[in-house]
Amino acid sequence: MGKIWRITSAKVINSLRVAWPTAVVGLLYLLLMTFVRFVSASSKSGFMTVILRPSQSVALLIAIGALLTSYELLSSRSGKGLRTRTIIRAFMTDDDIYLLYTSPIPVGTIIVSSFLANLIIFLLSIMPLGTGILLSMISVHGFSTIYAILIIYIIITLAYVHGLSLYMMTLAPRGILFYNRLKKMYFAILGLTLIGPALANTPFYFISPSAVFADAIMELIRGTPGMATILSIIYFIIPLYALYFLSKGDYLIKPLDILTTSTIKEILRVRVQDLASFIRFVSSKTPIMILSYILLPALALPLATYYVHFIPPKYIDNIFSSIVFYVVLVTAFSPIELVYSSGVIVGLSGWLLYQSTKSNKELVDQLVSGAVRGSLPLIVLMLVLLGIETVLYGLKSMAFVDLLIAVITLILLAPILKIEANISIMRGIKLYMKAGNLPLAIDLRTLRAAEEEMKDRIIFAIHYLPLFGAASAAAYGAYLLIGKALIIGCSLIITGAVMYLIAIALAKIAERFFRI
Amino acid sequence: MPSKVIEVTSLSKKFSDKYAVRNLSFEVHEGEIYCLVGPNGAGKTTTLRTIVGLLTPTSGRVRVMGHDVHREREKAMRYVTFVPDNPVLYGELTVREIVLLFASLRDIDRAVVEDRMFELLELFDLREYVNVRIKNLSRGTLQKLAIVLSFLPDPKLVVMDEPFMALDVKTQKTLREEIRKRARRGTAFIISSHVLPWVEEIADRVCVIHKGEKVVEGTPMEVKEKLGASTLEDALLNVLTGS
Repeated sequence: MGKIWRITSAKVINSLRVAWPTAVVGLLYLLLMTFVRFVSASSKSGFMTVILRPSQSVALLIAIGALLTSYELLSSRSGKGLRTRTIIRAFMTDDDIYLLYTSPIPVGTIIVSSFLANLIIFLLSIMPLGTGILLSMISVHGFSTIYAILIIYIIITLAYVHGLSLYMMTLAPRGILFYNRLKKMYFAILGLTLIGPALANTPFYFISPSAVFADAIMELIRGTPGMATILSIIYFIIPLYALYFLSKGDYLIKPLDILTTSTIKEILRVRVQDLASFIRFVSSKTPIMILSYILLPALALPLATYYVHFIPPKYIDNIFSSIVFYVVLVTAFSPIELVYSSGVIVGLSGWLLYQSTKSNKELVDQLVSGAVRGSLPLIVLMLVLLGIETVLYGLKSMAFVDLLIAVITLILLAPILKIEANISIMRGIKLYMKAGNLPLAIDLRTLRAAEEEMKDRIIFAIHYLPLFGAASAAAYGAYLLIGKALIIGCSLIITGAVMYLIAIALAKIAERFFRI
Repeated sequence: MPSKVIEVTSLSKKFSDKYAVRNLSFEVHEGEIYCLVGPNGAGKTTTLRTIVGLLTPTSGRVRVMGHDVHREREKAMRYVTFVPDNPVLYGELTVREIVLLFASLRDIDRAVVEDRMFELLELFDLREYVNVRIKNLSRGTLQKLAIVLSFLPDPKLVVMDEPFMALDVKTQKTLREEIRKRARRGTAFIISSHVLPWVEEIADRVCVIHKGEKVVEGTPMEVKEKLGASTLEDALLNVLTGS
């Protein structure tokens, strides 16, 4: 055990030193939660009530935890990509491989250490947030419900981490560039999204652009544009702006930490000069963005409206449950959100891939293997916890639905894992060996291989994510059928199928649009 | 005759349908400096990685101090350290932390480590970097650190892949001297290098590899004679041109 812990602590220290902003954000969130709890204590409605409901509070936590965790997992990678290794070594980073062949350490020790390190980093990254949630919950619900809340909290968090990992996998070669270089922007977005829910009176907005868009449409129909409309504009502009950054080349996406006053001035000057071209850019890309941003959320809107306003409470425990249901269905925990998001991401990926004049295969590696490596132990844990919860709460519980989704997820993840294995072997043998020991020198051959590989991945994302969404919708449908809510259950299953068809249609459009 | 530290028997390694190393055999004894030379793609790195257990051989066997590297990897690796051509270390740890981590994984007593660490860091001009994070080290400095790590446990066998690469002239000299000094104390070395003058200077025996196969083996003098050249550089050129 000694060596396992030595390596684990080295890895944890290594990761946490990169990820110190997590602690800061976590702390800020803790303060926010405390503020909400104590300042709004007199109010029994609105924000406080909503945010203190277990599932909703958890969802807020999930999104932040997932965002941060994915950040840790990805940023803690060494950046050198995979080397020759077998699938059993899929947990290892290059640092681990180095350790392995420079020391008499068993492979198992390294794998266990990596697993533990990922888990510890994950737990540490959500700990401050979790503390805030728990403090609030204890004060409202007492200690008796804490056990159940904890389980749900962990399960959903893990599920979302997995979901986000899957989501991240669809990013193009330059996705990680985007991720690394604009990571501080991510935190800015996070800041926005923390404020957003508070202002919008629901903690879910930021994790679900589709929910935001759906409400924005409602606001606009009512002629009372409000927070949802503002957030919609933010959600719409940020990816476009990021896309624009990337399209303009590296000078616009310098890491923020090396910016000086003069470079900021220069960038601002360029920004002003480029305003016109940005507007042209936005207008040229708007149709596809609208397509992916509006169409699926538009579908989510009637669904949401249906669940929130028209389902008699007797079918679902109470109005609150229907809200949760709405959230679960159309927001982050629901893989349907992935379908929706995949439209944007696949589009973004394809566009970046075919527009970029250079690529960095090592970074593709980093992204994919980081995501898979990070999510695998968590998925395993998630399955175990869901199993326990299903036993505790029975087949009619949401836990069972979650379990179904988890299993479906795992089945659908299998091809990715296979891809990962292939990539590992292919990279190690074909690319690394042929390209020589120059990990940063990307030649044309490597670039082509990267393009081919990304094409595969994009096609994969196009075809699997919709299926994923449809499958989960069907799972919810099955849940409702078990609960004898036949009409609702059937409608959900049909909805899932329709969503699948629409998503496939969108994917086909994207395929043609991006000449994949 | 000094005792055998490593014995490589009929080693072959195939990637897809192509042999990177074919039927390679050699042995290295205590205190011996054995150098692998050959053109790019000759199979040197594959050989070294197979020797340290990173790659599994297609056929053949590697035994270190009597232990099969692939069947008893941990036992065999107790006697071996490796300096890869491209060291990758935990970037956010400091030099001191990484040295202590490696020492602990090698079960070196903490009291001994401190002295040995500073002695080696001093030797390779790394003392000033002791509290610097790995990610901030230059390529050459990282290479020096990898060399320090390989010397730290006082192993029986040090395997080095292009150790002179990225090193400045002074460090190259230091390294050559340190290799000789350690060899005199009984450490065996297997070194792959393209810096042939250095190889000629330090090697007890040289093995010329081409297209994965051993072309010739012997002392630098013997190799030159067999290949009809006055320098190792010319000898290797003769192999490449087939003259």
